[in-house]
Parts: sequence; structure tokens; C-alpha cells
Amino acid sequence: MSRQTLHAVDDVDLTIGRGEIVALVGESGSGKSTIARLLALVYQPTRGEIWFEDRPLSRLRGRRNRLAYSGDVPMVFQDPYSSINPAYRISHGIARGMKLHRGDLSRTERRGELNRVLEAVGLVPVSDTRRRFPYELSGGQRQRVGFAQALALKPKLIVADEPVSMLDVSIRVGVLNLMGELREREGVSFLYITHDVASARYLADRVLVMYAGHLVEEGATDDVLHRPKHPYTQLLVSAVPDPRAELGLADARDVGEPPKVIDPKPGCRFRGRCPLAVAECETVTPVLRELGDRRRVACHVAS
Amino acid sequence: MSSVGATDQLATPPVGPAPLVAEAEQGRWWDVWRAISRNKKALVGVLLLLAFVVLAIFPGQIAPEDPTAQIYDPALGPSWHHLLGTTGRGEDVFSQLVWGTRLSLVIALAVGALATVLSVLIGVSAAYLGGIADGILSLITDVILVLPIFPLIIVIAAYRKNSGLFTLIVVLGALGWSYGARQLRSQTLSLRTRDFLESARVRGERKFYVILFEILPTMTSLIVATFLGAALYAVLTAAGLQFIGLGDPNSQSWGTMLYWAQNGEALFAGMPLWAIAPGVCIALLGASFALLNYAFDEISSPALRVRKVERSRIPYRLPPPAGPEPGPGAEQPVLKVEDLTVAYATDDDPVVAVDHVDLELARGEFLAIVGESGCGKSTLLYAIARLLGSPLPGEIVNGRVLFQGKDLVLLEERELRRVRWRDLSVVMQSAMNALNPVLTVAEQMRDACRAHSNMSKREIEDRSREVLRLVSIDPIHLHSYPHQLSGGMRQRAMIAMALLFTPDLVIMDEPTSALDVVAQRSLMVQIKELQERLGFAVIFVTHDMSLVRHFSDRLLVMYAGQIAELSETRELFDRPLHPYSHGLLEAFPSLRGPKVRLLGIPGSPPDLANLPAGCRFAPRCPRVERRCTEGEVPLYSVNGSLVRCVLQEDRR
Amino acid sequence: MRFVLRRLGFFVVTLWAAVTANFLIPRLMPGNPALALMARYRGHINPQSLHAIEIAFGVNKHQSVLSSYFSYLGNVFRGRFGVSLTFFPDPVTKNVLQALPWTLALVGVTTILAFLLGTLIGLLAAWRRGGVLDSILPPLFVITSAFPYFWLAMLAIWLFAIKYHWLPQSGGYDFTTTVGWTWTFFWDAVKHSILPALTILVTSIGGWILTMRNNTITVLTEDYVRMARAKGLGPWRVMWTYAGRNAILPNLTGFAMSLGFVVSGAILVEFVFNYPGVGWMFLQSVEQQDYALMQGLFLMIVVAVLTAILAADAATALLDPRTRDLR
Repeated sequence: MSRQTLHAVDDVDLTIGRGEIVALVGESGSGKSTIARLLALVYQPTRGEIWFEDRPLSRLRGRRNRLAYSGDVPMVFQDPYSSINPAYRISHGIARGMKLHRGDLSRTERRGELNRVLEAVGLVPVSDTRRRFPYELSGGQRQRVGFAQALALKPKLIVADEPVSMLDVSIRVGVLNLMGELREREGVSFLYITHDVASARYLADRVLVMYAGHLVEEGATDDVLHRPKHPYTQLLVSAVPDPRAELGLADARDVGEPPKVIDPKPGCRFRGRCPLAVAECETVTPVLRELGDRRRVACHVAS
Repeated sequence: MSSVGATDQLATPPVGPAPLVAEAEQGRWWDVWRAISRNKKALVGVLLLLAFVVLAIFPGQIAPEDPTAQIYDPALGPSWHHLLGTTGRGEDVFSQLVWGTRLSLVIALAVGALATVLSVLIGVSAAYLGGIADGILSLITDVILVLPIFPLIIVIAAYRKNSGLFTLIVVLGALGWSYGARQLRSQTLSLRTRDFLESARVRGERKFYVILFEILPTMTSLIVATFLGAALYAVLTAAGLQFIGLGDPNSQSWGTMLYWAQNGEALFAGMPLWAIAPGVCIALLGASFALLNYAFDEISSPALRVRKVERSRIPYRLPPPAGPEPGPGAEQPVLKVEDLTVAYATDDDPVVAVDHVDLELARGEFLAIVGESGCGKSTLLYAIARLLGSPLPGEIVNGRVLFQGKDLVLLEERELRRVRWRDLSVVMQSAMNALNPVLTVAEQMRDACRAHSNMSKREIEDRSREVLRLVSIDPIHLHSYPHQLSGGMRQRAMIAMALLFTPDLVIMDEPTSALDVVAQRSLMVQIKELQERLGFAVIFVTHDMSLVRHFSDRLLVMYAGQIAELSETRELFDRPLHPYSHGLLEAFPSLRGPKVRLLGIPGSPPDLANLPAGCRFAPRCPRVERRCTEGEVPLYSVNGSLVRCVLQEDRR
Repeated sequence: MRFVLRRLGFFVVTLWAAVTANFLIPRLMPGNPALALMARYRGHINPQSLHAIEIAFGVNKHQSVLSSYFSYLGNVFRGRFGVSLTFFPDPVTKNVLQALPWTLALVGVTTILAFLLGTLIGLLAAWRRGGVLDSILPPLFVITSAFPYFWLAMLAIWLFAIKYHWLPQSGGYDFTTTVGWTWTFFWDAVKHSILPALTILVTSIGGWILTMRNNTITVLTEDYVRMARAKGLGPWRVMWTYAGRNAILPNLTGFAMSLGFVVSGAILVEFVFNYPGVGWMFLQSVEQQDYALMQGLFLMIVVAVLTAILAADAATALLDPRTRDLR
């Protein structure tokens, strides 16, 4: 099994396996979206390297190589109301993608692919939906168009940046299920970026937790969410509203906010809000350390 | 922008400027024409412009005489033969007018086109390229924008007299693009944050393609406006130049006619027509551009249009209930909503967004309203507070809102103001938008205090600090501007403001949904604590049912403008009666429970303008039966809960 | 602070651009017309002024373009524009300073008045959407804003001065009154300025009304306005402090942007009324081929416009705390 590894500016390193769904969890401003955009080649890392199928991205030279990569790793965006060009039919983005990345397809083949991907994401009947303009579709349907665009490129890894956070509750599950099905049927890996811990648990094999630009905890989904080790993960998990459990009020008084990471000094970025903080947290930036089976935590105190 | 973005609870369908553009793209010019012909200003503008175009193309056929032939008696008055008289040199004024159209129109259209192309090129590339390129291009744009163009052109013309039409067009175009470029730049900048451009980039499109085929098609309306503005500027500037004699004095144009009129002392010679006639033409041509521009603005931004609900066109309407006047009693609810119906106007029939809602709220009660976007929950909320109006359009067309024994629906604005904030306050979704950006928190608190009390400056200051402390904000932030506070703090400051007078009822519209889970939970806990301590009642609108599970006393589930279910919160979570409530509960993945595959609710909520027959949830309902679609479903009362579902008919 | 510095920088850059344009235009034109004029000056004026004119128009072939450019910049900086031909032998600076008060009084006051009045009407029209004011004034002024200034000026003269003799038809004052700080003179000047002022007012006010109306309509959909209503504030308070104050901010930017247009119109109005201001003198100098005076006046106009824009920027900074906090 080939491994894909990425390192980002704030000392983040993570791997996504083939056919795996990895959830990247964190609050707004924690750097989740930056990682998505690094992967999508929108930003360049100032330091570090991203490896895709054992090839470093910094060595990607020329338009053809970059195109080949972006065809393998497309992205699905958060806001379904702004991620499709309102001036075109929804087939525009799908067709453009195929034209750029699968130029070997003939016209009829492209047409067939268009129908196939629209059907794969559940936009049926295809003959009707493919002529629609974005404003004629609901938020959930638009988000499915986003996935169809990605799918038309025959991707290996789809970076999904908060794909359900702007959708209504009743249709979120449908989109989550769609991602699961695409993994099963098409063998695509997903990096699922979200602030919704419960949906991460529903969908992902592994979870990565980010705080203020640092990766603070990583491990198998249930492991991390049921037995969080990092104090921030503990706070996050306890704050998730759960109608099926009693209200935990232990740290409900926390009114702290993540620091602005503009000119970071060494030290743990969570220390200001941390109930467990010790002197070491002020001076030494904790690094991820192995705590059990494929479980890593960046904390001096956690064990 | 309209209903796109985070405010996904607006009751309006997501139609913004995009449809117009899309229709045009679709080749449905008929729809564009329909939009124009509906707007009187646009119609007048189009007709005027068409008339001038005809004059410009066929002057020979329309003008009776050769405009340059000095063959008549000079300075004749208007007559059948010479509709507008003759000039001092014996030419027919009317014929000159007709022939003059051509030059003015050519200048207008050519300069308009040239300036628009330059605007688009410079404005859009500046915004899209960003960085240094943007810095330089915008500086050039701004400099040319504020340089007084007309004197500059005069300076140029003074050195180069009688230069030809081509030079005139080039100079006017080269100096007249900056206004449009600035507008297009800022529009592009706002588009840059739209994900479809990022999507195109990530797809691997070239910059050139993105600018030309992704950005430009979405800016059709602004490009048209730029063209119209530039054409207007060209008409007026060219006329001005010709008037002061810097054009070709022998050319056939309205400006030149005015030049001769001025030189011939038309006004003193008793021949005002020499000056009036060409001036009217310039003014009309200019007005046609200005009117089109104005109308286009109205058509492309619906906010500028005024719409009124025509009550007669609301599909059905019940007579107001003849309920008894509420007498003074100990167990009087703090709020009683009876048969409240809200409709808003569209281009077609009015749409009913809140459909006959009845509601009672006891003193100190916490009622949560949940539902999907467009279900009418926010409309209901703001109808209760009598705060409807754009951007949340709607009019109360039926029903009563009894608060403290008064019907808020019928209250005069002046009396309403007395109730507001003292007894009924509001907390909105985003404090960033709900706090006035140019006033400090202290000033906004002072406003409210001044409006409702005779508190002294000192007292107001003390009270403001006190309420800030209530919501755990350090009072040193009192004199900050909203943009200087963090998101969580702004939200708390707004809640503090709502508690200035400790009202009986606080209405909250998704006050936590812009926050992260940790901040959200701590704010919820705080709201609940304050509510229990101070004893006010709360109506809390949210799209997230799980959020209110531990906080609300009762839960109202809305669907497509109607009450679907109204129950005790615990009861509803344990035994949901309506299939929709059931579906909503099943739609949340659990963090701690067993991992099961969820199904969500298939389909999407109905279009309020086009409702299904019978039960509105029927098309998405897993338990749908034949009788569901056979007629309006009433609310059934089951063990103290209200449910709108025929399945409850038998269990009553 | 950053905001103020940035705007001052912009002021300097724009002024520099105008000065440079002034320097370049005569040089770029084929067949420099100034050459012929030099003969008319020679022998009549002192060598210093002659030198200034030579530099300004590129007649002096002994100097390189670059060095004459710097000499020119130096001259402009010290206010030396040479000698006017029309008002020989007065230096250009003196003429400009003579015309300036008239224009400031007429165009300056009228523009500010039009801006304030237009903003007020726009605010009121938007506040009472679909009301009488809103359904009449905005469409009406859309049309008048498309009128050529000079044409309206001619109409005004014909109607009010020639036909009915209500007001004087031209000039800044009556030649029979003595110029001085007397009531008679003041009243006479006011009478002469009414028609040109009205002309400028009527044509320029439409722009302010429309933009303010549209801004206000947009601002009225903002949550903070709804919040102000929810707070039970009086309608005046909501209209001024919440709607008006926020809606006027883009209008101030608009003020800066449309000022050039108003000034162009004002030049023609002064021309039609023979009003002894900068615009009239400017067109006179064009007609007389008095290039030195023309350039001086052009720079004067640029400086006036830029100063007004700085004032609008200052007002923006005063009204909007967000610009004050700009990084």
C-alpha cells in the first residue's frame, strides 16, 4: 500500500492511505482549510513537503504535471451557494474538468461520463438535472454537483472542505453517505475537513484534531473521540451537543479563545485555556508523540 | 448579496441577480425583454434610444432638407416648412438636428465601448492578479479618476485644434474608463472570495480563462452599467467640447449647433430655439442612458424594487378568530400568538411564509423553534417582534400577537416603541452585522437607555458595565467598537445589551450558530443561567435541534411555514410524533451512541410558492399514505402535544 | 494614521501626475504651437519669466528634456508659471489668485450644498420608500443629471434674465458697483451668482440623491438597522445614526469620484455666465492661446479638486472608526 504524506507550515504531518477517509477536525481558524488549499496547490508550503504517491509535490514542474496532480486530488468546497458559477449550467464545471484532465475522451465518451457522474452522486434524472442552472437547485443538490465535478476527474483523493456545514440538517446525512458510497464504489480516499465532531465519527476511519495551526491529536476515530487524551480534544468532545446524553457542565465556563498565530513563540498554544498546564508548556512546544497503537498526542502532560 | 451565504434561514427562495444573467446566457432574451418592459424607466430609456438610433441610421429619409444648405432666409421662426425655423446662416434647424444625431450617437457608442473594454481589462485584471500589479493598476485608476478630465481634454485640444473624430473618441475613451474600472475591480474582489473561482483554479484553469469565462459572465449587469455610464459621459463631454469651439465647427453635431447658437447670440436675438432644440436632444440622449442605467440597477438588485403584498391574491385566508379579549388574570401567558399568518410578495402571487400559527408562552419559559432553511422560523420570530421588512420580507396578513395584554399587530409604531427593549428584546444571529459598526458598544447601550428611561449618564454607564459583567465580559471593552471585539465577545455584548432592562421576553435568532462548538456550549449555558436567574422568557430559533435539547422547555418543529409538532422538549426527543421530527432526530450522527447507518430525510423542503396538495411533508415522508394528500392536515392534540399528521387522527 | 498618510501620499502622486501631464502635452503635440508664441513675448518680459516659459513649453533646445523637467518642477513648486499674455504683464500666479475666490464662492459652496442637500433627499427618499418624495425626485433628477450644464445655463439666462429680467444675465458683479467689502457689492455678487449656482445645483444634485438613496436602501436591510428598531429607538435616531451615518460613507467616496465631473460642468457654467472665476479664465486662456495661464489654471483646478477629496477623506475617517484602525 503506497502512502501519501504531507507536512505543512505549522509542523503538521499526516498521512492518508488509499481508500481511507481521514477527518481533520478543528474550530474555525485552526488551519484546517489551509491544509486543504496546500493539498490543492493553491498555496505553497514555506517549509516542508507533500508527497503524493511517493512523489514530492515541490518537484512538480510544468503545467502538465500539475494538471495531472490536480486531476488526482480535486477539492469540494464548503459553500454550495458560491462554489458553482451562477452564469452556467451545472454541467459546465464537470465538462471543463474532463476537457482539462481527460482530454483523451471523445465527445460521446465525455457525454457518457457526464451522465455517469451525475448519476453516481444521485442527481437523477440526469437528462433533466444536467440542464439546470445552479439557482434552480437546493443546497444539497449543489453540493452533489461539487462531488460530481470531482468525480469526473477519476480522482484518487478528494479534499472535502466542510462539505456539509452549510447544508440543512435533514440533508447532511445524505451527503455524508454519498462520500462513504464513493469510497466503496470508486475507491477514492477522502480528507474530510469539518468542525462537526459527530459527523467525523460517522464517516471517518481516522481523526486528526487541530488547534491554532497545530495538530494536537491523531488516531483511530472511536479511540480519539471516546478516549480523548489531549485536553483540547477533551474540551471539544465534551462541548458537542448530544441529545442522547446528559449535559456535562464540567468545563462549560471556558470562555477562552484560540490565540492568533501571527508570530508564534515556543510553547503550547492551548496552555492559556488548559486546566492541566505546567511550567514546561510555557516554553517548550509539545510535539506529537506516540501514545499507543497509531495514536499520537502533542501534549506534555497527557498519558 | 441576497440569500446566499451563512444566513441560510431566509424565507426567500435563492434568487438574486444571477437568474437574469442566466436567462440571458440561456438565450431567453424574451425574459430580459419582459424584465425591461415591466420597468417604466427602462422602457422609456429603451424607446428613446431606439428613436435616436433610427434617426442616426436614416437621417436622409427623415430630414426634409440638406442640413448644410444655406439657402433659406436666416433666422426664420418655426413654421410648417421649417418645423424649428432656420439658423442665422439660413439652414433648416430641424434637418441639422436629425443629421446631428449620427455623430453624437457614434461618439457615445464608440467611447462607451472603448471605455468599457479598458475598464474591464484593467479593473478585472487588477483585482484578479492582486499584489503589485493591483497596486499599480489601482493607483493609475485612482489618479485618472480624480484628475479633472474635462480640463485636461481641453488642454490637449488647445494644443491640437480641429483634430478629427477618431482622436476625440480615443482621448475620451482613454480618459473615461477609470470609474468603471474601479467598480469592476471591487466587484471582482468580492467575487474572488466566491468559491467557484477557487474551484476553477484548483481544477487547473489558466488565469486567462478564469478572467474571461468564469468572472466576466457573472458581471454582465455591471459591465452594461459601465457602458451606459461611459456613453453618458461621452455625450456630455463631447457636446461641451463642441460647444466651446474645440470640435470641428463645420461638423454636423448638436454641440456644434449650440456653439453657433452661442456665437450667434441666439438668446438675445430672440431665437432661443437654436439653443433649446439641440440641447433637448443631448439631454434626451443622455437621459436615455441615465434611465437605462438606473433601471438596470433596479432590475439586477431586487432590493431596490418595492413590492407590496396584494392580499386579495393570497390563496386562502381565514377570518380573524373571534377570541375573547384577555382579561387580567394571574396565569396569563407572557405571549400569545393567535392564527398568525405572514406573506411576502414576489413577481407572481404572494407567498405565505408563516401559515396560521398559534402559540403560547408562559412566564419564564424557554421555547425553541427548529426547522430547515426557508421553513419560516425566522419570519415567525420577526413577525412576533414586528420587525419584518427587508432583508426578511413579509407582512402580517392575519392573526394577533398578544403581549402584556396588547395586540402587537395593531399597535401604533409609537406605542410599540414603548414595549420594545424594556419588555421585549432581540438577539440576532450575527453580532457583527447587528451592532452598528460606527458606534461603540457604550454608545449603542446608551441609545437604548435614553429611548426608554431618564437615567443619567452615570447611571447608564454603571448599568452598561453591570450587564457586561453579567455575560462575563470585562467592562474595559465597553468603549470598544464592534470590529475591535472577537466574535464570541460581540455575541455576548449583544446579549448584554438585550438585558439592559431585564425584559419579560427575549427573542433569539440563532445567537450561537456563528460560533465554534466550545464557545457555543458555554454561551448556551450562560443564556440558560441568566434566564433562570432573571426570569425572562425566551423564544430561541435554531436549525440545530441537538443544541437546545438540554435548555428548552418546549420545542416547536416548523415545516414549510406550518407547525409540524409542538411538544415538551424531553417528550419530543424521546417520542417524536411527527415523521419529520423523527427524521430530524435520526439525521444527527451520534458522538457516543452505537454507530448506525443513518438515512436522513430524502428530498428537500417544498417551494412555498408551489406547495404539494395535502400534507406538505408527504413527498419526503417514509410513512406516507393515501389520505395524506387528500386535504389540509389539521393540528391534532395528543397528550398535550400538537402534531400535524394524519397518523395521529386515530390516536387522539 | 496610516489612512491619513496614505491619502496624503495619493494627493502628492496625483498632483505630480498632473504637473507631468502639463509638461509632456506640449512636447508630445506635433508642431509645438508655443514656438510661434515666443516671438510675441520676446523683448516684452523680463528674462526670468521668459526662461520659465521656455522651460514649460520645451522651446529651449539647449537643455535636455530631463533637466528642463526638473527645472519645470522647481518652477511649479515655487509658483512660477511665467507671465500671462492675456493680462500682460501680470504673472500667471496673480491672475489665478484673482479668479480663485470667485470660483471657491460659487462652485465650492454650490457643490457642498448640492452634496448635503442631495444626500439628505436621498436619505429621506429611501427612508420613505415608495412615498411621494421617492417616486418623484429620484427619477426626475436622473433626467436632469443627464442635462449638459452649459445648456441649462443658457436656458436659465434666457428665461430668468432675458425674458423676465429677474436676475442679471452675466458677470460676477455689476460694473457700476465698486469692488470692496460693502453690503452693496456683496448683495450684487450674490444676485449674480444665483443663476449659475442654481444651474450647477440642479445638474449635480441628481447624482448625490441617487447614490445616497441606493446606499440607504442597502443599509436599511442591514441587521443593525433592524436592531435599532428592535431597541425602540425613535425614527430620527434610527434614520440618522444608524441608516444615514453608515450610508453616507460610500457616498463620501462617491463625492471624491464625481467631483471631477462637477468641476467640468462648472467650467462651462462660468463660461456661459461670463463669471470671473477660474473656469471662465481657463477657457479665455484657451481661446487667446495663452498657454502659460492655461497650464497654471489647470494645475489650480487639480489642486482644488484634490483638496476637496482630502476633505472627504477626513470626513470618512471622522465618521468611520474602521478606517481609523486600518493597520
